[in-house]
Amino acid sequence: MIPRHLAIAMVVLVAAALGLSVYAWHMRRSVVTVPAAAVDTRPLGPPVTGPVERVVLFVAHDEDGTLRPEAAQVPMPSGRQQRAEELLQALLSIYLDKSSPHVLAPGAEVRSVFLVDPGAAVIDLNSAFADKHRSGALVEELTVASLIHTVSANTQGLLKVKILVDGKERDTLAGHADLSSYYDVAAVNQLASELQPQ
Amino acid sequence: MTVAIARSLRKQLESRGISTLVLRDSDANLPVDQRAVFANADHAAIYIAVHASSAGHGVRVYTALLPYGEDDHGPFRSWTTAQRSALPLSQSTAAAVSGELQKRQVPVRTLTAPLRPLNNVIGPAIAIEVAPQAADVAQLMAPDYQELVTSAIATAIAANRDQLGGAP
Repeated sequence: MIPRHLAIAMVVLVAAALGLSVYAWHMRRSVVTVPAAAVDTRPLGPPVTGPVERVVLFVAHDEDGTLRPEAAQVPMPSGRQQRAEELLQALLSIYLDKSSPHVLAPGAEVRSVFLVDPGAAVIDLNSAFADKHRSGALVEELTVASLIHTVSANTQGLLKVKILVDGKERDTLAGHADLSSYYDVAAVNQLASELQPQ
Repeated sequence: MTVAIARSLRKQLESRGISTLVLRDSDANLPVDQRAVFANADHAAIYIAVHASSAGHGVRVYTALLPYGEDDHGPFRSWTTAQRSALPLSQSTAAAVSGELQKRQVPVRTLTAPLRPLNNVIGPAIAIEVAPQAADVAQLMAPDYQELVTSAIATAIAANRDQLGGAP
């Protein structure tokens, strides 16, 4: 004869085991249904060295279609080219943040910036930046103006800027903003002033 | 939606005695270079590109943001800056269109923009991007709203007909 308290304990243990089994089954299902996050295969670059500087980024805001100057503290290397790249990395970190005022697609990157004398810059974007960019005249114009004006406002002597995608020429960013020619920095500066909040 | 707005604009222009050539009257796409070729060959009094967007509010009126350099060579116009000599007239037309939209209480902004083929057109050229007046995107589909916008544009074009010249 099994004592009553042992029988009750057995029942409780069996019930607990069943409950845990159901819970484990439920957890396994939910894990299976969540898609695995894409593996980030980007190579890790060496950490940026250089003093932290106060720079001005020109940040696009979709809510009112404006371009606003925003001060930021960014570690800036000494080379002109590396400085331009760091400026755009800082800008993209704002756009890729959860509270982004101007959403870019996940994985959007500036691959590199080349400064070519006299007065030319080439900004090379990756395909995720352009292929998944939202389509529209204003939304594309804000992206282009933000990139070019941020670089030109912080880099002396720039006259013209070309935007490439994966190292190649492309007609438009996402169907509207022209990428086929060099942008005139003076004209983009004028556009940036048109895009300031009223 | 863009085609619907373009058809509404065509109706409004023709009701004011202005003949039109619609370059894209279906969802079939026509390359931007080809659009400029048609506009230039037809000696259009004005080229109007129509866009629709759910982003922002009201209407944006654009004129060309010309690319760097690329000057004309003798009698040959640079393709990428063909708009240069007509830009002042494009800008005054854009201002007139904005004025008419404002009269109708439609929020409007006038901007330069790197939108092809505006810089490839040798005559006056503007682009219109129509967004809803408020958050309701469905307004873009509403014939009343489309007519409000296109009648303002057509009124401004008709009022500037003498300056535009050409064969609209």
